[in-house]
Amino acid sequence: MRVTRTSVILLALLAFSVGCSNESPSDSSQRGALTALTEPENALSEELMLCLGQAKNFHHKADVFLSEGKLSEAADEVAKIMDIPFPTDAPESEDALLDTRARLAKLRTEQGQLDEALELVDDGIASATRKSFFLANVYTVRGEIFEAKAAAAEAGSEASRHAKIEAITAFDSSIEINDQLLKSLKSEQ
Amino acid sequence: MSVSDDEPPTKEELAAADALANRVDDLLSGTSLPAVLDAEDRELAELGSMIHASYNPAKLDAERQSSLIEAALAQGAGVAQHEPDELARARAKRMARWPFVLGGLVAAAAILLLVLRPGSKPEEMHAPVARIMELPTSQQSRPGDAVIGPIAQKDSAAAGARIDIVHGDRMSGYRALQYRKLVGER
Repeated sequence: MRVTRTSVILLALLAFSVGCSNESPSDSSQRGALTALTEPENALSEELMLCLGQAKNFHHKADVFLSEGKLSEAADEVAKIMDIPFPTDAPESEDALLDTRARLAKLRTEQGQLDEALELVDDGIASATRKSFFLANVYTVRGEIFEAKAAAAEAGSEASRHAKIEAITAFDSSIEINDQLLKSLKSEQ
Repeated sequence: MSVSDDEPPTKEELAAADALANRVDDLLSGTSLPAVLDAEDRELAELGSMIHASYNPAKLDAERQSSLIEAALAQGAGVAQHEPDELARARAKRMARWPFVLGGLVAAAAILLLVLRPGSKPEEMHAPVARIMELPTSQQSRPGDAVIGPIAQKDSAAAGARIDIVHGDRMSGYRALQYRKLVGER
C-alpha cells in the first residue's frame, strides 16, 4: 500500500512538472502570433452595454407603470437608474444619466415636487462635462419647472416674475446649446 | 642485597633471583603464589609479572579465545532475544522512509528544472506582443448627439425612447467589435 501510494505521488509530481513545463497549443499559437490585438480605451465595452441595457429596462418598467397611471412607482423606477455604476469615461454614460435626470425631474414636476425636480436638473447641469443635446434637454426641463413655479405663484408676484425669468434663461441656454451642436454637426458633415 | 651494582652478585642474591623468577613464572602460568610468603617477595613477584606482561602481550590459546567469543555472542544474543520486535520495526520504519525521501528529491529536482530551465523566463513567456486596434467610429464609445439629434420640448421626458436608440446603435458596434476580436484581424 505504501509503495503504491508513493508511486502515485511521484507520478503526480512528475505529471505536474511536465504539465507546467509544456505549453498548450493555444499558448504556443499566441506566442507565435505576430500581434495580440488590444482594444483602445474608447472601445465600446461590455460594462457600458450592460449599464445601458439596465437603464433601458428601468425606463420601460416606468413606462408600464405610467400606462397604469402609477406616477410614483414610475418615478421610483427611473430613480434607480441613478444608482447604475456607469463607466465614468464613456460619453454615453453622461448622456444617459442627464436624460434620466430630465425624465425624473419631469415626473417630480407632475407630482408637484418642484424643488426636488429643480435639484435634479441643477445637479445634472453641474455634473456635465460637455455640451450635448441631452444637456440642452435638461435646460429645457429646467425651464418647464420654472414655468410650473411661475404658474404656482401668485400672478404678478415677485416669485412669479422671478420664475418666469429663470424659465426664459433656461430655455435660452437650451436653444444656444442646440444651435452650437447643430452647427458643429453640419460642419462635420 | 648488595648496595653496590659494581660488585658481582652473591650466591644468596642469585638464589633469591631464581626464586623470584620461578614465582613470576608461576604467576604467569596461572599458579597462585604460596599462601605463606614474605610481603616483600610477594610484591616483587607481582611487579615482575606485570613487567613481563607489558613486554610480552599475552596470547590466548584457541580454547580460551573461542570460549570468550562464545560468551560475547551469547550476551549479544540475549539482548536480541529481549527486543526482536523493536529492532525489526525500527528497520522497517527506516526502509519505509526511503520512498518518501526519493519522492521529495524527485519533486525538488522537477521544480528546480522548471524554474531554472534555460530560456524559460516568465517575462519572456508571457510578454504580450500587443497592438492597439484601430476602431471605426461605430465601435467607439462616443456622445449620442449624432444619433439622437436635437430633442424637441414635447419629447423632453422621452428618455426611454432615446436610450433604446442609443443602446441599439451601440450594440451594433459592440457586436461588430466582438466579432472582429473573435476572428482576429487579417
